[in-house]
Amino acid sequence: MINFIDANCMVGKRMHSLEGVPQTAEEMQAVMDRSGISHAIVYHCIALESDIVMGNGCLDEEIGTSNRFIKQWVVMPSFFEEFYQPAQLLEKMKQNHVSSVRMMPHTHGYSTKPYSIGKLMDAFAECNVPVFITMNQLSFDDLYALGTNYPAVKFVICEPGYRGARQYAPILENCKNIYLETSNYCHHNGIKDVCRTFGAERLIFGSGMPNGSATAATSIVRYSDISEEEKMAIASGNILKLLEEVSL
Amino acid sequence: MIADKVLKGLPLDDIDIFDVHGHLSGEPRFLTPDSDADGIVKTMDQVGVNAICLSSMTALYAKPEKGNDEVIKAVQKYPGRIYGYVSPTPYYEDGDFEKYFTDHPGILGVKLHAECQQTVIDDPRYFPALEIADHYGVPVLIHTWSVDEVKRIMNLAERYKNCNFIIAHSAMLVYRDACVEACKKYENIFVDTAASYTFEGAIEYMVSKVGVEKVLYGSDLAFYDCRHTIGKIGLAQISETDKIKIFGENARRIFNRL
Repeated sequence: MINFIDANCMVGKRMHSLEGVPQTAEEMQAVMDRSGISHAIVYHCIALESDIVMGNGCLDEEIGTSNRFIKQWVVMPSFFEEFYQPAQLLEKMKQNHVSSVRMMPHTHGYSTKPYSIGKLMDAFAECNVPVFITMNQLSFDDLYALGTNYPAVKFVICEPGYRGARQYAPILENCKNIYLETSNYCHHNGIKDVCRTFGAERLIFGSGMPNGSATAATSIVRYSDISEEEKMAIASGNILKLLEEVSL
Repeated sequence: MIADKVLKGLPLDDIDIFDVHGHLSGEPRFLTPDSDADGIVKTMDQVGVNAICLSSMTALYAKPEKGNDEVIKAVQKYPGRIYGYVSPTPYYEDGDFEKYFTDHPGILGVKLHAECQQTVIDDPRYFPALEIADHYGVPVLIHTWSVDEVKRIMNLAERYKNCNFIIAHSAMLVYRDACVEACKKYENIFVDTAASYTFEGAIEYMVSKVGVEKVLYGSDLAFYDCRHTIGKIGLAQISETDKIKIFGENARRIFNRL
């Protein structure tokens, strides 16, 4: 049976909790068990909805001693001491066993142009830290610019949506450092088409929990019309490779 | 067990799966690969879906007569695998909408997509087609994306009591509670499971709130990939019996021309 590592998960009780929706680490582990997901890369909802530093700090408390969660921090460029400078950030990540980061430029109100995040990207490139961004934070032109402006940084684009295949194709073709997370890349035969055209190595499994469904997201990979090797690469192999390259 | 097969990615070929929400032909705004009858049946075989009832995107967006004819051809090409919805337009009178039900046994119901036809669900210009649907007692699948649209479906359910109305995309967060209210209030309102991106637990929520008999398997294939929804139901925390009802038994009960 294929084992999955979930590369796109947000933990923590939100203010507007929804009945039946898994949000805590414990609730998510139950869904992971049912879906065949061994591990999940997680960030904390407070880092999205309120304060980055506070949210990142809440991760340890949320996931407790479970070894099934891989910590991810939300980051931003800092010009007024509201967040760490790049060198300090890398050091803090190392101390806290954080191996990937997530940026939310639209939510947190900054540009992804080099004048804004250039130093941050240089730091991540030096240590091979993969950068995750949800597609609702970017335009397609922004995404192309990210891929070309920072060719040494690996970007995992989360929740790419089922309507964007015509937009993603030229970006995947031109930017080898861009990967698509699969949670809602689910138009008919979309996964198969990416595998055939660009290779399975460009896809990384994610559930999008709590907004997405892990049972649905795993199912689309399991049933896709691709080889078992390709399924295993998407399910866990590709993200493991990215994480193994990190050198903090 | 259904879940065991889903976890192995095996076709669910030992249960009856009837998909109440499918589409033929392309969507203008984005890529919908393999959306012809052959492409749809190939995917159904891979997953283990017995039958699908689908409408034509061409009928919904552009030219109903042409699209409805396309549905009839697909039904004729794959009898017992592909069934059809026909779609009216609010903008001009279809000469003989009734012929779809008198001449074509594989046409099982009516599909309305008021949003892409730039009107509202209970537009009186849909009434002639709905009166025919009511006369034949066939199900009416309605694209839904808001609380307001659910309320308009309730208006139709009140007016056409012989039709079963299916609220599409019922688990979307913004109007799931409106769907619950509609299902509880009207015996002839049901919900389908098609949704592009829903939270975990959506199936369990609907089953617990409206009862399993009201929940129908719909995927949105080939607008969307049915592999997604298969897992959502197959791995849901509901009984095996309930999964079988959602996947096919409920649809077989309310599609009166099967």
